[in-house]
Amino acid sequence: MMRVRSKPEKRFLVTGATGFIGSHLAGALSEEGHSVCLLIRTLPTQSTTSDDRWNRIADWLRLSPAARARITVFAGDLDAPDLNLSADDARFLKANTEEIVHAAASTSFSERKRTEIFQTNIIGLGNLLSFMDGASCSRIHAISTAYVGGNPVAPCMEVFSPPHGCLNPYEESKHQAEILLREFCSRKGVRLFIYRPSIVYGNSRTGKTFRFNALYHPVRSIAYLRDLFMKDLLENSGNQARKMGISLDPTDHTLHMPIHFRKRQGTGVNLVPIEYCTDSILELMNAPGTDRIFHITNTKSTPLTDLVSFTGRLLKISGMVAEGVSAQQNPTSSALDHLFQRYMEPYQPYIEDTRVFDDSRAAQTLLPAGIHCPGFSYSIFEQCMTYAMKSNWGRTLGL
Amino acid sequence: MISREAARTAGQCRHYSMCKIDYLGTGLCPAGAENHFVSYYPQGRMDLVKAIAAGKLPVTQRLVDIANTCTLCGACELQCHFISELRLMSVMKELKEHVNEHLAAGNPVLPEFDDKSLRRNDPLLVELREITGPRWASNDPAITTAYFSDPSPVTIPKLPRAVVLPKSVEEVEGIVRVAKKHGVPFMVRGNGSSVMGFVMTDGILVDTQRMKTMDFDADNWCVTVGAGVSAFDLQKEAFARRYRVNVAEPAAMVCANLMCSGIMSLFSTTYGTLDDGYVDAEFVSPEGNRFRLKDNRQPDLYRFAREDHPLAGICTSVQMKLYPMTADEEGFLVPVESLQEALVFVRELSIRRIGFGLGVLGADYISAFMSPASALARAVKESTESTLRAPFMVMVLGDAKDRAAVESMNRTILSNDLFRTLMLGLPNLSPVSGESHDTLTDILQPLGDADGQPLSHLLGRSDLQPLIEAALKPSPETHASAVPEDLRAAYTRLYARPEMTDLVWLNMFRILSSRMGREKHLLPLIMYVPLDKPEVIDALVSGLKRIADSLNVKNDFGFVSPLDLGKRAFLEYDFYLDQNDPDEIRRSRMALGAAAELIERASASVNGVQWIRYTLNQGCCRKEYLLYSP
Repeated sequence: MMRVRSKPEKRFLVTGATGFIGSHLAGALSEEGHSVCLLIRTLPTQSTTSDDRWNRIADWLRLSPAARARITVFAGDLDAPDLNLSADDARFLKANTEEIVHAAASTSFSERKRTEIFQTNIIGLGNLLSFMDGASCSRIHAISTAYVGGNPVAPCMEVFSPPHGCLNPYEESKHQAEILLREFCSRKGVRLFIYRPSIVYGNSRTGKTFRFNALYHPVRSIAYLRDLFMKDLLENSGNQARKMGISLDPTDHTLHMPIHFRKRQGTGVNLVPIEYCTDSILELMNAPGTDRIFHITNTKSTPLTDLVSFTGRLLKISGMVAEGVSAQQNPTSSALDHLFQRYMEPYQPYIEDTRVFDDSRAAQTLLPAGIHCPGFSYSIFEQCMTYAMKSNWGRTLGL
Repeated sequence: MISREAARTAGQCRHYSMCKIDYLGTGLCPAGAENHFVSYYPQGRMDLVKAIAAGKLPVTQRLVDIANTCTLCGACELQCHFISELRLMSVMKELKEHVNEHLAAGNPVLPEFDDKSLRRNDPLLVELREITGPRWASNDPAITTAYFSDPSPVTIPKLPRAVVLPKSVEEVEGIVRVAKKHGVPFMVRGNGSSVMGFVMTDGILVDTQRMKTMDFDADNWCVTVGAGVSAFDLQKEAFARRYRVNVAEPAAMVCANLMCSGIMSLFSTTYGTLDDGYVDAEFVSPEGNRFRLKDNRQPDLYRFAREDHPLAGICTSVQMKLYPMTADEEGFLVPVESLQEALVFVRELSIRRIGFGLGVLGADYISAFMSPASALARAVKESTESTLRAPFMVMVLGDAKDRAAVESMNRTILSNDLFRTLMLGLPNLSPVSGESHDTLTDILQPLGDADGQPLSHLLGRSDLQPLIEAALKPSPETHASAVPEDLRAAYTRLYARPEMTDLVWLNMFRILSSRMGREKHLLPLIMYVPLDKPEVIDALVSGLKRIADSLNVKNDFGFVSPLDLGKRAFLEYDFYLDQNDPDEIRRSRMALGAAAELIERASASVNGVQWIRYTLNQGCCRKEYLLYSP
């Protein structure tokens, strides 16, 4: 959505600009006429520069020439106490940043990656705050998550949460990051805005995305298996497919591929599209009031049964079922069941989520502005997955 | 005129001697098999081309013969590519062309015995030729050059005054006496090769290549082996009789191994090491007298002392033990997440006497062998470590009962069938260049990062095998697709043979480790370690890694193999270097020096740590004297 504002131009520093949310925010801010500085790492294993990395994303975002002209890329690294900036760049950013959009984060849920997650989400944030200490910045906009340790029985409110109920190191780190930000901002008199999206997927209208994790990966794997066993059935008499109970319906060419997805409880996954996330944050940046924590969530979660049925319908696969099992049950599973259990494991808490997100504060600003979160329908799923498959899961995007 | 490309390829020869044995069953260099001097084998020809390119080797009578006897049959091309990825046919061709052009231009050929410094035939050589016959003793530079140097960074190159190839123990006695009479030093090489810099001489170089006798004694489960018999050739003959021998690398000579270090292999967990493997041996003393190990009046070669030891004699034959095999033998791998876990597990297997061959192997070791190309090996190593979370694997060679025992220990098992599937389908598992479509690795990658059991556990499920097979399409053709097009047919034929993916066979014949030096020359640091102190092994491994990393020397874990029911083990840690890069040579020398200090310190303070350098010339000592010496 192209937004036209009467607000005066501001000077932003955006971290995480090569990430999914950060890139969309950086692009939207520059389209709105703001000056945007991006802090982007140069990857040691790749020969591409920070500028190259951003330019490719800017192409993909189809930013206007005017918006691109308002963006400056700074090669830097949140891992370093001085952000690895040159002296000139550091001076410039300290003197010219009015507001920070902090979107850089590690989004891994893995306990094994705890150190890496905390390095980025806590130490990296600490480095950013130390760097900006005493600078001209008056506002910090931080991208957090709706899952910062909410209460499973009571609605999760748009307030700082007590430190309990975190399901993984990611949630834990984001909770700590909020506390760190609160302390810094209250000490320095900086206005803090915290945005807590739930699980973000591609553009619900166009399907566009360049991240194919979370919602996408199980679908990608199922599509892979479908192609693999279709080929086996059509070209190799189905020797391997048969051993796994996979067959082809000769009448409608539907592949029968038995996979049992299991869940024990919960209402489903809370999914929000990227354009809702971006539009909401831009709108909420200027929300009135002193409490500035906002849930960017969907009022309706999507049950696992819907996701499984959407996938079967799109890929013409039968035999995939989502089953409810009791907490005590641990049924024997086939290799494919087991494989997909592994895929779903990190997301299982979100699939089985019982948390309800109260977004009334965000809604006060968003509803009058006409910003609504769409329900996750089959047509949106189809749009998103068609884009994913057409782009060969990102291979053809040139990013 | 030797081209720069040929000279570069020639300079890359690692002297691993794999062109001197028919380890792929594809035939042996006919000129080498007939003439035995290293110069007639592809390895020697590589050294000759390197010397010609450097302007250091004139066209001599022998060089003409060496060039003429090469039929360009191509047997060496596959043998060399298999372990090193080098393409050496162009080198072989250029050697012939160089000689032909020289002759065509009417240039002179230096006669074989034209020794200008002596103004006449070297009297030493004359006497040596009397012992072996004129064909088998030479000081022609085209012969001696192939014995001049090796890829080790500590080698001090020396050109032998003469190279001699005895056929019998009597001839060895005669050679030693001639050396003594002339006051000339001598050095012995099993198959003429050197890789560690120990066997350089400017005196007489005795190459035992021609002493190829093998006498099997089925009644006593023994075989008596001459000094020119390679580990591969002996294993081949034993295998044909349904026996197994405990031997070292395939091109290594059995007798030379006995003298230098004793046998270190995964089979040592049951067959032992040092004196465990042989019944008796025959030697020729430095005075030229024959003696046997069992003789009372001779030097006590069973003793061990932690000190550098002079050569007690030339081992001319050894009576080795033969071991039985069963029909249900199988190799399999147990993936583990850390070295500590691997050490504890392999020790438990050893204590429980599970498996007749055991070893902890690093991902580098396994991926190097599985992959016919080094770029593919790097991708496989990366996947093994990060996606499978299996930086180490315990190799178990055992029978059906051993497998059942490991299964009962609730361990993930990657069976030989799965190993075969992965190896034959490897190019489809880890495409080196970006694929235009999803592969199994793309699909499994996100699971590697997740918590819970490592992905290797999933891979070990037998009901997942159809998926893996459908994804990888394992076949000799698929495997061969990873090598240059002109070699694919040969690789396809090779991998149609079941033994090439049979873990027991590959370990018996020591083919599994043959690709470790493919990217760079390998400098193995081998020591005996106390397996009941995994923290000591861990400290040694991390210490060696720190040393090499600090000097920017490529390094990796080699293997650990238990000994003596889990009390002790071999540890091999490997440094690597580009043998032609002076800066790498300098840095690897420094790394070796620091590594030596580390090992000596550990050896002085921890019981059970013994450096292999002290087994040089003490390889037939009693195992207990070494393993339990203070």
